[in-house]
Amino acid sequence: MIDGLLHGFAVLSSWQNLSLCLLGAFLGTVVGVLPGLGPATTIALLLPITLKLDPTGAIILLAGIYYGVAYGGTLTSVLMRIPGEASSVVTCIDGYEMARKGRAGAALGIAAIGSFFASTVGILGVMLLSPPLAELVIAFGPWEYAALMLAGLSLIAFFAASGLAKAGLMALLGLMLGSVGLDPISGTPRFTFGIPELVDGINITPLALGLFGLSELLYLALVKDTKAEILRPPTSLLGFLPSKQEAKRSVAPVLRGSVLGFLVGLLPGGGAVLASFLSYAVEKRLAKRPEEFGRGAVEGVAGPEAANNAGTAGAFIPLLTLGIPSNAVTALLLGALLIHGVQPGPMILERQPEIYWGVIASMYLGNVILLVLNLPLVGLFVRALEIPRRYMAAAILAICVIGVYSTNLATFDVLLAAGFGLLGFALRRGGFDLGPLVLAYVLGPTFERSLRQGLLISDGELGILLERPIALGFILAAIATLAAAVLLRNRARVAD
Amino acid sequence: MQRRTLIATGAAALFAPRLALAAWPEREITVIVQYGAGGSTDVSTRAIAAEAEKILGVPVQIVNRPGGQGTVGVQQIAAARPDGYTIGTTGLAGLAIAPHMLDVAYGFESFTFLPAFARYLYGIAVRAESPHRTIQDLVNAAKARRTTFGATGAPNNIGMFDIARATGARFQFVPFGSGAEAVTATLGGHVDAVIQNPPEMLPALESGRLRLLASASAGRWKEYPEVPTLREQGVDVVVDSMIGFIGPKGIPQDRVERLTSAFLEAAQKPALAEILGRFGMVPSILQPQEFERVAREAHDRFGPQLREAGLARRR
Repeated sequence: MIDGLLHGFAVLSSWQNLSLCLLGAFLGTVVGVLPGLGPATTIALLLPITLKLDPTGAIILLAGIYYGVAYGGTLTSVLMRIPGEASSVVTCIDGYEMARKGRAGAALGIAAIGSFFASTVGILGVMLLSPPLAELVIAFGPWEYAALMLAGLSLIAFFAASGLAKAGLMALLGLMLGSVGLDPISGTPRFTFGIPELVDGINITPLALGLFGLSELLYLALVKDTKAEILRPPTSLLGFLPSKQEAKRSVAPVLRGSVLGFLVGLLPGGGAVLASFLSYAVEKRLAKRPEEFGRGAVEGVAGPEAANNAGTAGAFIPLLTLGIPSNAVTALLLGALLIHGVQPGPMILERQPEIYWGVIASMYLGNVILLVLNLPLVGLFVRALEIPRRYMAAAILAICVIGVYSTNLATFDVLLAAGFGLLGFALRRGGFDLGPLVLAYVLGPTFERSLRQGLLISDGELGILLERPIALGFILAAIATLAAAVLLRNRARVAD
Repeated sequence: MQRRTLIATGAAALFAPRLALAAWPEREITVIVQYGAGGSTDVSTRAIAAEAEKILGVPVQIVNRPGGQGTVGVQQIAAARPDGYTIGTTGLAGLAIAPHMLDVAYGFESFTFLPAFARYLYGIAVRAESPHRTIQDLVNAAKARRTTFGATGAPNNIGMFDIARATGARFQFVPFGSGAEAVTATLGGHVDAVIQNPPEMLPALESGRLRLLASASAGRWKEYPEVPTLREQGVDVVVDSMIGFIGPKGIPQDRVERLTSAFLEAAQKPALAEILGRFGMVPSILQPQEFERVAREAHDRFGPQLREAGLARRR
């Protein structure tokens, strides 16, 4: 293995591969920062160009974009409440609140350091644990997915500050939004109201940018000018460094987020988005002061930002060792490998070790580049907060609209985002949390598809669950979570 | 003097169309791909476009128009100006399957057919732990008890329905979002069999975790020449899908001929076969009329079968 890694670094040490690694990390950061423009779009755009490169170089470049994105996505989430990437949606909640308290630098600093740590854990995991973890991926069938998604949905009970009933309502709304598009089993359209643009479902970009970014604009317009200037940049240039207490509170969430994110990233349909949400819910559940969540809890940034990076790394295991892409981006990477005549899978280590180890070595280097690239920039970016909010609002609007439009070049998506902006504004005025809505929207489709696949396989029998310990374990965990949520709440009520 | 100019101009005008004909195409040709970059449709279109460029002498550029399960791109082909400068690629998915599932604004009458250049390969496999060695084993098992298979959708699932009809067996179709997911579920024993294309099956086949029972195509797979086709095993079923060029209705006949001959020539280049092979396809030429006939037949045959399986729009 050490030989392999050394071989990988040898492959990497050519000028061409080094500069491709740097370019990939840089592009990834830029794409991550720009809302709407995601890794899938970018990789698809660059794919034809990489035909001119050798396969190793092409994959180093494209992989760099993929894992670089998880770094850059945080920035606009914290500074403007616009998720730069789907995997940073959840960071909008507490990251932005930290910024409002003048801790934007700390939030970004912790996100960058946590991301670096989690990525390193993820790469080590890819290197050391690939074969046994690939078995775990195979052991997961439809029932296991359905049960895992159910356990994820049950965490919504801990997600919301607004109470179980309101959180439940938001979750239902999220499930409804997730079910628009094609029926996952019959393949026929539903809830599309004859609108062709809805056939592929509601994209997460207009949903997230609308609910979080555009609704914040309306919010800003509502409060008085003086009060709107709430975001304070740090006073010194080193202000992006977290305080001792913030750092201490972040250690455990980063560790948990790294492991959780890595495991979720392995699973098909999992990946960075799911990882970040689950980590947020887990941190809230475990926090000593859960009431701080939603009001700028550093754990709510540290955990998810670590999880989305580890999830990105985890997705490389099924891709490289099984030839199975676990999300849309790794599917494109698979396509890129195939174009170059590389067949990923169990045989790749024997046939093309230079690609396997070259990619792993480039991930180590890429992460160092990303840390060096991102950490000093935090100090620079935070200066943007000195811009008066009334000017900033116009910039937020422009970024949101361009971001939404650029994903599919569809005006319909912009209208959709505007609708979600109004919805998000109305919901926030009504005291509803947006977290449960987005979580249910993300988990719902996988839950439905897996459950219905499972029922087709078992011919409608639920008894099959008793023979499936993993699935049963997740279901019991879901029940325990819900029961705990209700009990804790009742106790709190008695104490009042 | 004036009269002479007039005559000269008139003569030039008489010759101009012929010159223009010989020179067509004068500018770049746009090919709409109904899916995003990086998939088999996109890659194979780019590969043949690269060859056709050299023959036509103008750039052939690819524009990806994904959305609506591939119908958005096909719709844009139908709506393009019929001057031959905007065409596109599609297969049975856009022409013969999607119209049964979705409301589409196009039909066969919306298109000018150009040649098809490649076919997809299909195969049926079980996991290594499975007792089945031949397609007959799988069919016998399916007669005795409930047997499931994973696939992404038509025409793969229709192939299994055809086998069921031909043999009296019963297979339960379990749809998966991607071929990779269907293969993974088979490896884990969650479904009994899988019918997909080579790219997603080869890694597991080569490592010995998956066993190919039959090629479901007309010919064997080049990677597994010892595994017979369904027909060779006595089951008269062929799963077939192809990719070819179409354009909007009303492209002038001479331009259709120019494009057809250019793509037919490009389809025979060895470089194309190489790239097609990596994505589980084989070069296979269908003349425009034949492409249209095959697509129409598939459309008429798939409709009732999909409706019977509860997988299509109700009329």
